[in-house]
Amino acid sequence: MPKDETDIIISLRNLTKRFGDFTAVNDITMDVRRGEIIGLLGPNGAGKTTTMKMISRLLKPTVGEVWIRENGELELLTNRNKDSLLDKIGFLIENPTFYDHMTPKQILTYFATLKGYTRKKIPARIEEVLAMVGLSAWINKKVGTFSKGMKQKLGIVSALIHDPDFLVLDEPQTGLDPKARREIRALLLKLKHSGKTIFLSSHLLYEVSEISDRIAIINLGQIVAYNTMENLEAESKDSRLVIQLETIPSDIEQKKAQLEAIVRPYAGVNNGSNIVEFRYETRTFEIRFDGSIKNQKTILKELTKSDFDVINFSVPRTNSLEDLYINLVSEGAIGKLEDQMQEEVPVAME
Amino acid sequence: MTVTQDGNLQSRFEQHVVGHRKSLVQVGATVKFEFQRNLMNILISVGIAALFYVMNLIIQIVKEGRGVEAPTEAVEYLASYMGMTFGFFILIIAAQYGANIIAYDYDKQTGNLLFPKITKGRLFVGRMIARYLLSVLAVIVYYIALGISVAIKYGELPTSIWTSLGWAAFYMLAVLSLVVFFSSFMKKTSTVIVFSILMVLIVFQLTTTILHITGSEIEPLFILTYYSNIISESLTGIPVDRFVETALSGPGMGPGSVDGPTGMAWITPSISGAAIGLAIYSISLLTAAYVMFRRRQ
Repeated sequence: MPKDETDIIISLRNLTKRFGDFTAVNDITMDVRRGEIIGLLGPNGAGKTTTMKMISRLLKPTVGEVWIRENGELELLTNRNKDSLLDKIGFLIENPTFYDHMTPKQILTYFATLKGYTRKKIPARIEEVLAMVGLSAWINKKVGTFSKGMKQKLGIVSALIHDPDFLVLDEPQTGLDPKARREIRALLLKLKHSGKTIFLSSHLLYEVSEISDRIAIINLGQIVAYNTMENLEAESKDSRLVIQLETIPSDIEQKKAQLEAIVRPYAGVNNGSNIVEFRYETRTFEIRFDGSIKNQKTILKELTKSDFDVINFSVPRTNSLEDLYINLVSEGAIGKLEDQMQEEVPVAME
Repeated sequence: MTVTQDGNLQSRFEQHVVGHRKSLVQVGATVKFEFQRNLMNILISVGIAALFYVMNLIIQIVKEGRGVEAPTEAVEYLASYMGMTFGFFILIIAAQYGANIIAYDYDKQTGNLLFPKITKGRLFVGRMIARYLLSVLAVIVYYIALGISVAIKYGELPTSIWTSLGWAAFYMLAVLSLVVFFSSFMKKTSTVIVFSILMVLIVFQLTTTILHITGSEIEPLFILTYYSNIISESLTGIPVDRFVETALSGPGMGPGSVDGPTGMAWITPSISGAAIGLAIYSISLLTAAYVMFRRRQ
């Protein structure tokens, strides 16, 4: 890791967690930089909470390391130094549930003391953080009388109470109504603007995409995409032309290669990945291109000139970030489906 | 030594000093928080202590009203309050403070917010200290009420009451440890309470009865409830013969009658036996509870 990357405050290196034969998190490597919001996005069971738990040392990685910046240097997180290293981090892992008959003041005083916050300053700090989430009037009320949204806010506040520079929040918006979600988003942005770094997990695309600087998409324990919002959005906004041939060719791979050779010069896509895919579930070919009308017309002309017996083609569809997310997280399931259908597709007579 | 990215080393000693100081702060904060958290339980346990005292007092008054002579010695009067009901009182208080010590956080998911703010070890120590102190407080309330009534009735307070209180506090630790052990792996607080009561009142009592009727001469040091006997026996002094042979059936059933089949009934453990036995019980159960708690996800 280059030494000049001093804005990296936490670095995950080949982080892997196995439970017996099951791999919950597989070889995650990523850096979190000072002052940004990183969204860890993935479906339920993708490995988000396990990753968070390894950062908080609630789970020991099977393989890999967590490095945390302390006094200007990145230090390897171990059981021996976790007390000092994790003190600078505020954690909210899984659903925040409180003792119903306790008050926010009692709970937050306890948490602040546990984290070594200066005792004399604790009352003022509690008032400050409760004001931040609009719970000042509830400081001495029993938590049992709180709504779910209020409890969620109190959960975030409990991670903030010792004024950490870095927050790790696991699904802070889950189960909340739209109004409460918006309030949490506003709060997280406010925290970011006050200089906090936030590592946030969620299965809700909108909640993450609205506030994150960078998004890591995790599926089946692996990071399948990690980029800035701008790059991910650019990547997701490709267009797809779907064509159907009269018969399904016996050698699909050969047909794909032929199609690729014909349309690639006009696709306007520069990266090296394949631009033609065969969808077994719909028995159609999908051609990825830049969405321009000119290229669309040229591709169709070239296809009609060729000996491909195209009987149907769709209006190009522009993808969204949501499509990209769905595609990425569905990959494992679709992969299995493709294997299954490949066995079922009858060999066509050409 | 801790290795930094640049290869610098941090003294392990420095980490230990910081770590120990932090441990004390966190354990202290946990004790304080547990006192706040159990405020209602404190009132309930004091009420239970008062209730047990009043019930025993009523029994004494009724007995005396029916012509049964009151004990001539103050210590004997004290010992009459330390029968089976006192063992039950200790069990109820231990269940009240110990049953939810771990199980509740997993049942209600309240533990999610505690970690990694505090380690399981420090949380366990802090909670145990707080809950043990609160349990002993209930016992002290019972002894205070008892002491006052003895002082009024006999005009003196036997010094052996302090020894008895000491044994009661030690026995409370062992019973609390048993309940905490169940709490470390059971899911619900109510299950822990039911299981603890079944264990103490049924399993231990049945084992004692089985040993008795089989005529076994083995001192039942492995039975937790056996140690409660020293609480009352220490008031009057530990007898030299700590067991009696009793008849198992017939009109002469009971101590001193040896016609027909007999069994051995142990009265009390010795001082050293009780100290070692209760210490082993407490340490092994608390260690097992901590190990279970650490492994619990």
